[in-house]
Amino acid sequence: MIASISSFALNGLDGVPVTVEADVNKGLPSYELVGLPDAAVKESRERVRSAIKNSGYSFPVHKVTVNLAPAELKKEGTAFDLAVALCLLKASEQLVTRDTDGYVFLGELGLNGDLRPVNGILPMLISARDKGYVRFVVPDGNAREAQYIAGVEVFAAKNLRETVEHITGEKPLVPVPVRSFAAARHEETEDPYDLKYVRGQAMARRALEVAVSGGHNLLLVGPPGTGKTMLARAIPSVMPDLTFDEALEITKIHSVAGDVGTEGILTRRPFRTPHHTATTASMCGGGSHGVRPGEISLAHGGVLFLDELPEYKRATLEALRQPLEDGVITVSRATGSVTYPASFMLCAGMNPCPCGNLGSKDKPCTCTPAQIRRYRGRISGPLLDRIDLQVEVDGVGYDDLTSDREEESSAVVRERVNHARKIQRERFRGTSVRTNSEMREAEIRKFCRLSAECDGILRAAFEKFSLSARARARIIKVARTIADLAYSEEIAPAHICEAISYRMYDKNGS
Amino acid sequence: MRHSPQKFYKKILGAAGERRAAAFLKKQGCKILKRNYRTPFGEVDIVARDGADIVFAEVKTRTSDAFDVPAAAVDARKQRRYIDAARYFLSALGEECNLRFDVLEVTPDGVEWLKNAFEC
Repeated sequence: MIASISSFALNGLDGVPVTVEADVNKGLPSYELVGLPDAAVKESRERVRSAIKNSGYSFPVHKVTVNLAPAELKKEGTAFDLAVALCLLKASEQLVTRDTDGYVFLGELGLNGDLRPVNGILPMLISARDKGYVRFVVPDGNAREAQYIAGVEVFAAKNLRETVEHITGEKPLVPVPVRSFAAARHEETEDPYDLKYVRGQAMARRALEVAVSGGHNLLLVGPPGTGKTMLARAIPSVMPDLTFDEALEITKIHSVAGDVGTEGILTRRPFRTPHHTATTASMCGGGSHGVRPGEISLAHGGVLFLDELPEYKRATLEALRQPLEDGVITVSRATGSVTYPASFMLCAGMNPCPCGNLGSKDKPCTCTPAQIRRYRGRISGPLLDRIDLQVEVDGVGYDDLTSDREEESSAVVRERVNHARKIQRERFRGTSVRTNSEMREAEIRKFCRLSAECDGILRAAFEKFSLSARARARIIKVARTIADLAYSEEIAPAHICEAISYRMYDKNGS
Repeated sequence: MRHSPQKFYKKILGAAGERRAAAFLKKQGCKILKRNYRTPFGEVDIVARDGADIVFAEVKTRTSDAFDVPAAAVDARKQRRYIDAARYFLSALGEECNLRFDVLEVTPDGVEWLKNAFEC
C-alpha cells in the first residue's frame, strides 16, 4: 500500500514542502530511502525502526520504499523521522485515518519513540503558514519556539504514540497557546551591560550614540584595558527595542543555528563576538553539512564586535565588505546558493599600535613608526572606509573611576536614539532605506543639502586628508545623523566638523 | 580434515538440529515446503509457509554456549546467499508473495525462533 505525509525542509531561511511517500509491498524484505537524503536522513531508518517497535507497533516486513519528494532537493537533518514513521504506519495499515492530510509533521525520533527537538522550526513554520499549511505536530521541546506564530494550530507531542493517538482522535492534544511577544519581553532581566557603568569616555560615548542612531559602524581605538569592550557590550542596550517582526526575523536565523534561548524567541538584540581565529566560513556562513548562517548573520539586527581587529585574518575581514554594503550575504556552494540576512552594526576594537600606548596621556609608546604602519596596514583601506566613526578611547584617571557621580544610563541614551530613529523613519517613509547609513546617492542629494559654509569645510577636509568619494558621502551621512540628534532640519557646520573629526584614521594618513 | 571425525560429527549434529527445527516449525503451525533446498547460489536449510509469508530459515545448532550465540554465525555472506536463493525461488514460483528470513537457534535447551532476522 502507498501512503504520503507532509513535512518541511529548509533551504536557507525558506521552508520547502517535502512529501514523504512510502510504498509497502510484497517481495523480499528490504528498506530503500530515496530522494537525495544525507547521512543523517539515511540513518533515520534505524531510528524509525526502533521507534516504531518500541511504541507498540510493528515495522513492516515487506519491500519498503520511502521517497522524499521533490527528489531533486538535497535533504538533510533529522526532522523527517516523524513523517517517515507515520508514513510507514499508514502504508502498513496500522494507522487507518485520512486525517493526516493538512498536517505537517516535524521531529527527530529517539529509539524509544520519544520526539526530540530539531533546528529551524521557526522558519519552517512561518514559511509553511505562508504557503497555506495550518496544522503542525512538532516535538514538545520545540513548543516554545512555535508559540509566537499566530494563525496556525501547533500540537506539541512527546512521542510517536502521542502523535498517532492525536491523529486518530483517541487522545487529542491541545494546541500550543499563542504567546505574545510582550509576555516574552516581560521575562527579560536587566541588561548587565549598561552605559552607566562606563566611567568617563565622553568622546567615545558620544560616538557610540551617533553610531547607533544612524546605524553607522564604529571603531574604538585605545590602549588595552581602557573600556573598549565594555563600551561595545553596552551598544545593544542603547539600540531601539526589537519589534516583533524584527525579533521573528532574528530568531529565524538563530533557530537554524539551533539557539533560541529559553523564551523561544530573542528579546534582545544579538551581540556577537567571534574570536579573531574565526574562519571566513564561520564568519560569513557555509560549512560542509549544508550552508549554516555565519556570525554576521547571527549578528543580524544587532552588533558584530570584532575585538583586536588587526588580529583577524585579512581574507576574513575583506569578506565583510560586501555584506556591510548590502545587508545580506549570499553563500554559494556547488550544491546551490543560500541568502541570509546580515544587516548588522559593526563595532571594532583595536590598539593604536603594537604596544598599545600610542597617543596615551601618561604611558610612553615604544613602537617604531614602521611597526605602527605595519600594524595598521593589516586593516585595509576599503574596510576602514566603511567604518564611519573612528574614535580614540583613552585611559581614565583614578579619580574618575572612583567618583560617585552616576554616568548617564543606557535608558536615557536610548530615548535620544529612538527619537533620532523616528525622524529617520519619517524621512525615508515609502523607501527601503531605514537609517541614515543606508542612504544612497539619491537620498543624500535629497535630504542632505549642504550650505555653502558646510561645503567649504568639507572641501577643505577632502583636499587636506585626500578623502575618497565614499568617505565624503559617509561623512555627510554621519553629519545628517548628528543633525537629527540635535533636532536640526539643516546640517550645520558644527555637525559637519564633528562628523569629520570621527575619521581620525584618515587624518593620520594611514 | 576432509574426512576427519570432527567434520563427520558436525554433519550429523547439523542434520539432527535441522530435523528438530523442522519439527518445531510444524508444531508452530508452519507448512514445511522444502528441506535442504538447493539453488545455484547455495543451500537453504528450510523453506516453510507461515501464514501468508514464505519463510527462509537458516538453522544453527550448538551443543554449548561457550562461543557466541548461534545467530551471530549468520554473517553478511550467508545472508547474501539466502537473499539470492530467495530471488531464485521467487522467479521459479512466478508469483508475488511475501518473504521473510528467519534464523532458528537449536541448543540443548530448545529451539529459539528469530523471526525476520535480516533483510536485504
